[in-house]
Amino acid sequence: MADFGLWWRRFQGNAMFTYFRLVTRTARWQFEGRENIQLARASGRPLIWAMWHGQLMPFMHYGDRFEDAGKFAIITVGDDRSDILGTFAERLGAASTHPVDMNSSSMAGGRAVLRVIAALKGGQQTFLAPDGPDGPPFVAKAGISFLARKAMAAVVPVGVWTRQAVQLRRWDRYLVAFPFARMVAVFGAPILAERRSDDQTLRDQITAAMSRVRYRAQQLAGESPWP
Amino acid sequence: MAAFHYTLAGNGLHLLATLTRATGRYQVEGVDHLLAAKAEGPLLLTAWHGMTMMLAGFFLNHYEDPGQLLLILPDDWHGEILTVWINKMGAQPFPMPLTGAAGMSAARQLARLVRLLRAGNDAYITPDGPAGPGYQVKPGVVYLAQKAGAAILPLGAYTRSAYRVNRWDQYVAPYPFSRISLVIGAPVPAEGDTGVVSQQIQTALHQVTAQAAANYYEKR
Repeated sequence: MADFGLWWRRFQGNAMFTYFRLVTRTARWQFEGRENIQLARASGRPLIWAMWHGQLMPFMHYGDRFEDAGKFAIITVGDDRSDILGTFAERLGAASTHPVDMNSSSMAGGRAVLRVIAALKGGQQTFLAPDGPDGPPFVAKAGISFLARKAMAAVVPVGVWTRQAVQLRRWDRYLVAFPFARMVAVFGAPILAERRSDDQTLRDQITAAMSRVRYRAQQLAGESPWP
Repeated sequence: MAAFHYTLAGNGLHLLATLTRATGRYQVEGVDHLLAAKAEGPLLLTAWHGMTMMLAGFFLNHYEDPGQLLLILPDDWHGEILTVWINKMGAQPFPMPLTGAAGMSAARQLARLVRLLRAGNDAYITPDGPAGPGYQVKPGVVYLAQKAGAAILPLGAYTRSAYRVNRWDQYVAPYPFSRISLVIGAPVPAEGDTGVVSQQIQTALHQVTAQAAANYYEKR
């Protein structure tokens, strides 16, 4: 008998993608700071888009619409959610998917991170929610600064918000946009990581920038940060 | 003697706070941060302006002597109303001229505040108050902490069942019997450049508020 669990997770991934595409195709966009993307590209470094976990979905709408999915290396969590997210990423047309086991310090997790770094150096880009996959919210973990330093990347902080959405009742208040949503995307100035940058300083810098653009996007969308 | 309508409004606020305190269920994280910082010296409790009503019940429950808590408020008619409320709570109102040009009276009040803090009082201050812009830390709180040698403690609060006043701070008035999640963050060191510390406080306040929301939904 076929593995029903796997089939069900793939089905979930496909269903998620169908809804996701519907929203992408119908959303309307407003931008601020788009020149920062050009700036980051002009630096000639691999890009890491950084946003808080709650805004992953709206950001992916942006990526799906305006960026080339074939240039993205997608990092997913390494437990059974990776089947759902892997299917989703595959349908999105991502260049590669990297399930990283984030809860243990096993060698497999380390190897997956090395593959991400190699992909970044090979000209791909990635996005990362440094407070994911399970919180605590708004606290950037070490992964983002590590990855940015090793790949010498340009980190672009992104804040995306829309009022036509539901905020799930969980730790990150995950934002799921409705079709025909009016999206606001704000991009902060790119943070260029050097191999020898101080890890903590870099992380603080990224944290502050991400909070700033998130707040700005909410402001433009006409909403308060803590509804 | 406060005007009649100020007394009425102040009493209304007190009634709301008492109801919240008596019927609300508090889930608090990080009391050890409060106790540890309290043992070290004076405290500067900070939270976003809109969270005040949720925190009022917590102050009443957790301060053995609310009389040593200074609440900083403007010296206009808002302040008159708040003074009535704060006196009823048993804390000390501390009116400051917060708007307009910084004159001598403002400087004298600030010096008095610093003295009171050094004498062992704690203060509650909303860094984005009293009139916004919302969710942005102004430099006053850092200056005060540096002068008084006080620890800045970020407080965050969240509840779903509340009336939210549609204005700059989305003032949250919790309904009776609501569950209220509070988070007390680790103290933010006040030494260093004012701009940098302000940014750190802002980040810390967003973090504790997000954590309070997370606890509300994930931990029961």
